Amino acid sequence: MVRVHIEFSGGLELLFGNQKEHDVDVPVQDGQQELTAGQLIAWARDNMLRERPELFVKGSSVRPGILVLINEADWELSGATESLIGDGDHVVFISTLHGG
Amino acid sequence: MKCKSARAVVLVRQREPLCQACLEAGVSGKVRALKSNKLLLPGDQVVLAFSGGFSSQTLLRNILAMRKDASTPRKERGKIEFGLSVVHINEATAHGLSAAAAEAHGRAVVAAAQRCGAGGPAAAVRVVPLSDVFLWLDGLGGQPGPQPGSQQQQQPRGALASAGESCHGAEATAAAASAAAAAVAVAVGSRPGAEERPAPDVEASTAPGDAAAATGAGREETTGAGEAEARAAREARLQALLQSVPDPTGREDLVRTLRTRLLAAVAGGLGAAKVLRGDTATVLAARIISDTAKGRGYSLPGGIQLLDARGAARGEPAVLQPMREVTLKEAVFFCRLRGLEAVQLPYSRAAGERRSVNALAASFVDSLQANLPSTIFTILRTAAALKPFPFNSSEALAPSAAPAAADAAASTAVTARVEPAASAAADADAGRSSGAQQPGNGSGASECQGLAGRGDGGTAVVSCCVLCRAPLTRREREAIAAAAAARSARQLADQSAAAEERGLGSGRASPGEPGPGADGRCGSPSLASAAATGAGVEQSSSLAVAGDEAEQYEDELEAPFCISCRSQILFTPEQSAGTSTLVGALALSGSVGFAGIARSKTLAVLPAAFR
Repeated sequence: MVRVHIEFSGGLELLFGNQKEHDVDVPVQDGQQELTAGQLIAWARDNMLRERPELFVKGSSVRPGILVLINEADWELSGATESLIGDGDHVVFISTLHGG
Repeated sequence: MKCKSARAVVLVRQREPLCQACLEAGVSGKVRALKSNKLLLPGDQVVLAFSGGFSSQTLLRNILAMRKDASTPRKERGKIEFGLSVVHINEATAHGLSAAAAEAHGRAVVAAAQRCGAGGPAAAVRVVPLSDVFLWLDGLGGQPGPQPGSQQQQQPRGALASAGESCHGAEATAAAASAAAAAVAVAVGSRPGAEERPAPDVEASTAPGDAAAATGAGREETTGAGEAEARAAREARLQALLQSVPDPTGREDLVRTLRTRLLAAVAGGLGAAKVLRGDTATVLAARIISDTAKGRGYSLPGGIQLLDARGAARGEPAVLQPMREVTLKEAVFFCRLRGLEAVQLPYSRAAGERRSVNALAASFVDSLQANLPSTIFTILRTAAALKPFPFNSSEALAPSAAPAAADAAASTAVTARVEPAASAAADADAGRSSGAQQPGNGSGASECQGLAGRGDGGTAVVSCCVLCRAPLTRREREAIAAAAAARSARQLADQSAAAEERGLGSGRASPGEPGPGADGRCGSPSLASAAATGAGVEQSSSLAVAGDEAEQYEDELEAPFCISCRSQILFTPEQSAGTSTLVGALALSGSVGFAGIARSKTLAVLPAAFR
């Protein structure tokens, strides 16, 4: 199990019970210490999402327009869906659906 | 990596990693282009349009950083002294929120602005509900500026006061902001039965007495009932107006238009000549796509430049978009890395409801950008190839001495852009007097010039859509002019036929003339040519047959709206023989007889200034 602190912002929290911060334990394959971001997204879709999955995921990744930060850095710097998330990491999903 | 020293935190553009400092430097450098382009000058009064989102907050932070602190006489290098007001147009109710939720949203936005550094008397924050558009732009004759002696003038002042104006007093920042929120709360929250909507009161009478008695944040007592009732009536009217638009895209566009015009009106009321908007490159790219899809190619270049001063001749504030080269991702990271949270309205679309063209365009750009990071800038570069309008250049900012001369100059400048014959204005007068009889498209064009050339008493001529302010294409103007000519010819014919029986109409009916409810397509060539020639007499006879409904319809044809507003927001042509909305609308504006009968429910509920 990998403990991850997940935060939702930019309106995404409404899909997750209107709660911005979540501390979750995500199961991983035997022997692994980390999970990929793609796996985390799939797990979040299956276990945390209350409604409207199409607003969060598209295929195996997040919907285009949703920014992902891992420990306050752009996940594209670490491989996007292939980024590795370890115990205690902080992942943020920000929706830019409405611009600003 | 730009500075090659600090840790990279974000990937922008074409896979360029940046650290926080370099990211911030890049963003602020683009906003500072205002200064180098001389678009922000010492002594300017500026309104910043604040939505509470990431780009608004980024813009606000950077603008405040550019500002010289007026309280110290010490010179600060690189900083400008200008007046700033932060204005939030609260459109929460237009997205379906209750009054209480809308008011909470307004408070959250004020808090966000304060976190960015605004809120003091030098950077006051105001929340204005979208329904106030009826206060400002109703019955003021389209002139949102101060009109001496006008009773209506009292209302906007009252609205500003109740929105928490703190210009005149040096009040404490927290007190002013909370008093502002409280004033908004009292006015909005005291409306009974916030959940259910009262029957739309189209004839909402906001007596000047109510607003004049409406108290502001500075005063302790509130009028309560009078002001709350007026506000509730405006809210109901706003809902009725939005419900009258059947199309989700049209509804969104109408909200956007109302927001833009209300911003301009509020800015004018505050004495500001410039409005700063936080539209990012991402949002502009999506708008380019959606505007193209809506057939707005002609007016497109006017709205994507750094400066848009199309209303300057009328005294309206100029619009600046300093964030147009900053992507939304950069703005989000800018805020995130500084710990600034955005305030967003919740998703307002029910699952299964049709998405608007705007949402589709945004999602299209996002999807493409995910795999191809050059997407946004490719779209912007392509649109930059379109020639901007004269009102996009900084010369348009210079105030004109004589309003009449400026209007004529501005209108001929716009029309001269597409019609090289600027001297057609002279021909137009001759053309107009015998306009009803002249065949051919030439008379249509010279009619337009006629309308354009004559600034009747200095009033602005119809060169822009009254609703969205997009410049009208030549085709649109011709159609409007033809409808106007037809109407005046009809009036002439009516007068001359007054003594005789109306048999003139039935005897002279043109072949293939359709009755009401006929196919709306441009399929009837005889009618097409008849309309194009502006042969008013024949048309008037047809009209006499169809009666009053057609006359109202002709009035709508004459109304100065662009095709996009007409088809999406205003008119609901009957779906006859599978006519699509856009084709039907084109047929309507081509003055081709009767495409069914257009019933414009929206037109009646629009604020007077838009008609």
